[in-house]
Amino acid sequence: MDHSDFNIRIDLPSTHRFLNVAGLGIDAILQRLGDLIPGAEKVSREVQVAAQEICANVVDHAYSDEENGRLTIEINIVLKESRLDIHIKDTGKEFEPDLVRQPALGELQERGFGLYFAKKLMDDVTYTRNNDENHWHLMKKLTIEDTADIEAALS
Amino acid sequence: MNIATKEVVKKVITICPEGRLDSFAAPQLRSKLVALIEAGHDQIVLDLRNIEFMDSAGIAVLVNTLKRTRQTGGDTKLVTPHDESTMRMFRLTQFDKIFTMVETPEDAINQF
Repeated sequence: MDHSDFNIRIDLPSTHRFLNVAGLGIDAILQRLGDLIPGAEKVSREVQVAAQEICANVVDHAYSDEENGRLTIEINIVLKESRLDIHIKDTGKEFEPDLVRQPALGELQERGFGLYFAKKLMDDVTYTRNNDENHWHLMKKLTIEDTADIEAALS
Repeated sequence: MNIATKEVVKKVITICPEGRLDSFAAPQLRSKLVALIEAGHDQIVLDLRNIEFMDSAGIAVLVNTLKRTRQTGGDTKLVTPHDESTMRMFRLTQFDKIFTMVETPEDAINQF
């Protein structure tokens, strides 16, 4: 990791009340990198929605039977590779992708848009289950105009 | 023959949520709207101009309100959010084609 890599971890209780901390944390980080990432505000909004959707899914489903669950949200920005990765981990129940149906767009459907939004707003969304742990990986490509100037700007 | 004329004025309620309409805030807004609808108010304007962030939980409240008000012959109209990412949620779900979305509360009230 060099000076243009950032790795920030947020650890939250499994409750909707504090999921805004994940979203606002992402926003705070991207605001401070706004001079290096054109369109950082738009990127922030998209990543916030995607991350909060996955976190809400974890609270509602992975931890539906557990009050004391924890979520860790790791935000990893590698400017030289022009990418932002979010890793969301929990130890709740396994996610069952086969139970998720594609939302019926244009109909008065209330639920089922969370994962749909995450996939639409990020460049890649993957889920894996390892050793009783759920791992969501969300990746967003960043547009960085001049990577050569990054080190100078951050030094 | 007597012809009685009676003027019926139905109230339009305008609600202006502000800030983050996420999975924590959405149930609070839902409770408020359900209470209004159950009290007989089925013409509702939701002014979204001051919403700074909205996720699928927020969308669910709006759709639920639309369905409930239409069940009794009313409707729910939206004042278009200023926040572009919130507006994008409507486009991604195609709810921008289902809701009446206008620029001001006055325009929304005039749609009833």
